[in-house]
Amino acid sequence: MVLWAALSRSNLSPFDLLGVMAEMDVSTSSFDDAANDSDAEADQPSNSSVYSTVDVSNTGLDTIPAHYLAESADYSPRMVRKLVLARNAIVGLTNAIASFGNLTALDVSSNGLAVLPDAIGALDKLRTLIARSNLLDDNSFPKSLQRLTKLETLNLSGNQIEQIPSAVYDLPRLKALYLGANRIDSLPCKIGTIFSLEVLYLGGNRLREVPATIGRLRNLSSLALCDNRLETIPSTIVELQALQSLSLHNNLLRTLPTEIVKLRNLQQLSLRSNPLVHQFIRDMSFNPPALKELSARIVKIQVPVEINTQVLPPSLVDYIDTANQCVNPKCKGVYFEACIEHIKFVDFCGKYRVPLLQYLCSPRCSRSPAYAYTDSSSDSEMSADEAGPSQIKLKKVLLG
Amino acid sequence: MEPLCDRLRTIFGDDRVNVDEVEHVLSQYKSNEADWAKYAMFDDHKYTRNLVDKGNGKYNLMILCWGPGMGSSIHDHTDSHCFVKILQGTLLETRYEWPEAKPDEDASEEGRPMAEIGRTSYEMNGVTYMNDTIGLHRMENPSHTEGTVSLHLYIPAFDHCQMFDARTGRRSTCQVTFWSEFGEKIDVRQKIEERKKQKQVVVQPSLTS
Repeated sequence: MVLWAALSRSNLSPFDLLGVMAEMDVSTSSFDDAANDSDAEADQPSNSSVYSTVDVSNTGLDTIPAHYLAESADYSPRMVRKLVLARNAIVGLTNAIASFGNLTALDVSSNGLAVLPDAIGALDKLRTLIARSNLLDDNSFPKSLQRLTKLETLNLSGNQIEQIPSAVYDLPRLKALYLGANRIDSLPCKIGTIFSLEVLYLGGNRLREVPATIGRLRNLSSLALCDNRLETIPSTIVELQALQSLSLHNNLLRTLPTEIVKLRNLQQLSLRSNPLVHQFIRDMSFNPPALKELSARIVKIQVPVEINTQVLPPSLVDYIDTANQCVNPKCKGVYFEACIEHIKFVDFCGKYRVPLLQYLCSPRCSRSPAYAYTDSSSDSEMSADEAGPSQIKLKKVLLG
Repeated sequence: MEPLCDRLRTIFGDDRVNVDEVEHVLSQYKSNEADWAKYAMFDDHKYTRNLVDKGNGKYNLMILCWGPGMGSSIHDHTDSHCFVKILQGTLLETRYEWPEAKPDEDASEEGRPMAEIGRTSYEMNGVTYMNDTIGLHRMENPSHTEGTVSLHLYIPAFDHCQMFDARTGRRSTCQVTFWSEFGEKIDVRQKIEERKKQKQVVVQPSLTS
C-alpha cells in the first residue's frame, strides 16, 4: 500500500482524501464527475480506484513529492484521476506534471504560481482545471493549453489576468469559465464564439461595457458581471434565452435594456448598488431633429411607399426605410436619428420597479402618443410591440 | 455534526432559548470539513439551504452554500431566533432598519430607500445572532474566488419569511425551501405541491435568496 505509506509520511490522515468536493466550490460536481467518468478512457483497470484521488492540499509542499511521480509495483502516477495540490507553496509546477497522463481533474489553487508549464498540454484527458488565487497573468498561459480539448471547467479566479487567455477560444467543450477577481477591463467580440459556455463568471473585474456578441452564447445559463464598472448592458442580452441567473450588482448602471423582460428563464437577478434611476420620469437631453428627419417622419407615416419610390431620389427612399418605431405601443410615430431616451419603470411580478430604457419619438410621447392610431389603422408595418414590457412578466425574479 | 446536534438538542430540551449559551456552544465547535462535506452542495445560480437536523421539531439546523458573489435579499426572521456560524469562507452582513409603516401599494407611491444600520464581515468560525427586534439583514459572499459555507440555526423553525426591496421598502412574503435534506437532494417543486395541499394557500414565488 505504497500510497498509504506515502500519506502517513506527509502527516496526512485518510480523512484528507475526503472533503475534496467541498474545496471545489461551484465546480464541485464537475470535479467529481470528471474522475468517475474517465475510467473507460484510462489505460488502467478501474479497480485501482483507491489511488484515483491524491489530495495533498495544505501540506507545506514546494514541489510535487517524488513518491507520487515514481512508478512501483503498486502504484503509478497514471492511476491518478484527481490531483489536488491546493494551498501549498508550489511556486513552479514542473514538467513532471505530465506523468499524470490520465488526470481528469487538477487543482493547483493558492500556490503562488506565476506560470503554467508547457507540459500541462500533455494532460489531454483533463476535464477540470482549477488554478484560483495564484500569480498568473497574461503571459502565464502556454499555447499547449489548446490541447486540452476535453476541458469543461476552467477556474482562473483571483489572479492578475487582464485579457481572456487566447487558448480559451480553442476549447470546444468548455462549459464553465471562472475569471472572477482579475484585472479584465474589456472583452473582445470573440467572446461570442465560445458557444459551449454555460457558466461565465466575470465578477470583480474592471469591465466598463460588454460586447453585443455576448448574445451569441446561446447555452449560457449563468452570467456574473457583478462588481465591475458597467454603465450599460447590451440589448442583445435578450438572445440569452437559456439564462437563469444574471448578477449585475455593484456596477454603474442607470438603466437596463427593455429586452431584459423577455428572458423567460431568468430566475435570479441582482441589481443592488447601482445608481438606478429613482424618479418616475426623467427626460434626457433631446437634440431637436433636423428638417430632413421631420419631413421623413411625416412621409413615412402618411405617404405610401409606392409614391416615394416614384417621386424621391433613391438616397431618400433608403433613408426613409431606416425608420425606427416609437416604442410606445399606442403611438405609430417613428424616428430616425433623433429620439428621446425615456426611463420607464416596469413592475416585475408586481413587486419591484425596475427602470428600463426605451426610445420614444418625442418627449410628449411618454404620456399620450404623439401620433395616435386611428380606429381604422391596421398598418402591418407598424405592428406595435404586442409583447411589451407590461405584458411579459418574469417569474420568480428577485432583486437585491 | 453529531456531537453538535446532540448538544443543541440538550440545550433546547426545555423550550427556553438562552442566546448566550447557544452562541457559546456554536463558538466552541471548530469547523472541520469532514464533518459537513456531505451537506455542502453548491448551485451555479443561487445559494443553497441544506437541512441537517430538525431537533425534534424545535429548530432547523441547516448548512448554506454561497457560490462566489451570491447573496440573499433583505429579509426578516419571522419572529424566530437566528444563529449563524461560518464554516468556510466569508459572509458579509448588511443590517437595515425596518421600513416605516407598510408603504402604499398604490403604483404612484415610490416608497423610501431603506436605512442601512451597519455592516459586518464574518470569517471562518465566527458566530452571529439575529432576530426581528434587531432589524433586517442581507447576507452575501463578498468573494469572487471562494465559496462560503455557513451553519444556520433557527428557533423555532419557519417555512416563510418576508423579503424587502432596498429601494422602496416594499415587502413580500416568500416560502423558504431546502436544496437538500439530511444530505439528500430534494425536488423543490414536489415539496411546494405537498405544502400547497397541506395548507391550501396561494403559493408565493419561493425565496431562493
